[in-house]
Amino acid sequence: MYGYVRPFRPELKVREFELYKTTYCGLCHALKENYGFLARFAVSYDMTLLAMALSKVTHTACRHKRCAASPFRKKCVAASSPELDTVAGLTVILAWFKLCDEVADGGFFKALGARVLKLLMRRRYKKAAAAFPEFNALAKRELERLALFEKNAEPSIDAVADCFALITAGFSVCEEDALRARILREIFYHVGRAVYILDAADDYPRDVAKNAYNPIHLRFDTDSAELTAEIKERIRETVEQSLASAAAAGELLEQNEFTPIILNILYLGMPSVINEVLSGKDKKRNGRII
Amino acid sequence: MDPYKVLGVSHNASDEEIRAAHRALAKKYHPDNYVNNPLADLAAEKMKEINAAYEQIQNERAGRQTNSGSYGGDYNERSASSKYAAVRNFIAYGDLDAAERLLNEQEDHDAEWYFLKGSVCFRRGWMDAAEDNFARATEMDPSNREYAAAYDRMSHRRTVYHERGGYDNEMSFCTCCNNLICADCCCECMGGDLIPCC
Repeated sequence: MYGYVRPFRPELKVREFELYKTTYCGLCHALKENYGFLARFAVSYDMTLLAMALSKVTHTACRHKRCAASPFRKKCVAASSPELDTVAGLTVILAWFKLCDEVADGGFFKALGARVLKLLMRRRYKKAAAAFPEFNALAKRELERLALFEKNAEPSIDAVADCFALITAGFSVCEEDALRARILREIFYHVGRAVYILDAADDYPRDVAKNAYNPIHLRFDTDSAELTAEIKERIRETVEQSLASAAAAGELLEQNEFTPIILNILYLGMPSVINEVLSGKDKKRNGRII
Repeated sequence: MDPYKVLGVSHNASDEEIRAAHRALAKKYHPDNYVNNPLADLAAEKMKEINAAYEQIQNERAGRQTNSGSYGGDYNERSASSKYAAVRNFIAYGDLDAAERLLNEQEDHDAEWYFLKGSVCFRRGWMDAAEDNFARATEMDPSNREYAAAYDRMSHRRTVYHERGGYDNEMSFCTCCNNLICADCCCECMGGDLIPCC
């Protein structure tokens, strides 16, 4: 579910890419400072988009810190801010639910890693849930609805994607400015929908082989083991519809240092991800920084 | 408000540059791109701001009152049949649950029903269902321009999205390199040498 929301590097200015990395590192440090060393592994490109969208600073200041992932060079890390702390909290909550999902889906041994992580993350999750009770309740509610759709083999791809999209749309509750919150809601609803559908497309061959639930399989009522060209085209069309909506909303955000990066992600980054997913190349890069 | 900043041009931009900037922004925030969109009012605000900025610059430069040819739509609401007037109102106000409830109470589903169902889906972000419903509506009543417009808008917005991504507009590195090589050849034909190593 992670790593689908990323920029298209060739069209980013070097300065913009540096700012993007700085924000990513800022999020990683916010996770560590608020939720401990283990929480750092929850950092992702996807939540970096949220960090940029929620940022209130006019110019991101840098602090030089060591990186656990590459210890030999100090990195330029975004100065801590309430918004980064917020994104850290939401990240931990989502990471927790993802772990719950892995534990529920996997057998005892396969999910062992997830079980151990869950045990270690439990206290941190409780802290994040206490700090963001509204979002936590929303995520829980929508994931339960999603599980019900899966159980009942819901054929409407919109209905299922809606559950996930409402969670990501729910990020907007953390924006105090009401007008801005409406824009973020629209952006993140559609980014969430796009991610859900792309994830389903990515998982399609595996799910069909295991006879597991896959919304694309049900929507297009097909027996094919792989995605056919026609289905791929339909997926591309519907994901682009969402990206068009997200981009139209993104254009309404006030201009700041992050605007070109955000628009790059929405206009260029995600279409390149669509290409990778549909050509079968992208195999869950797991959101590690490039 | 600095009108030059709103249009994204410098203070000593030429009239043509200002016109081009205004045109580009108006195209971006035109109401047609925000039909049945939850943020339509914000886009309309942006349009007003852009048009006001353009008008202000024109007035300042020409020192006269101009009718600035601002872009922006007046919408002729199609006359609604009384059967679905309430549904249309709910959609216009963004109360999608109420609109959907009323639609679900209808037993027979005519073309207009599918069109309105599509509109509700589109507004919710249920793009797949929206497209299906609009398609159904146009199938059942091919002559109706409102339904056809809604269906066409769905494919048109993808085109607009691709264009904005600037895939076609940007000068790629290949184009730049090709141009330089051509320039070098021409230069050598004339007796010079633009790029000594080519």
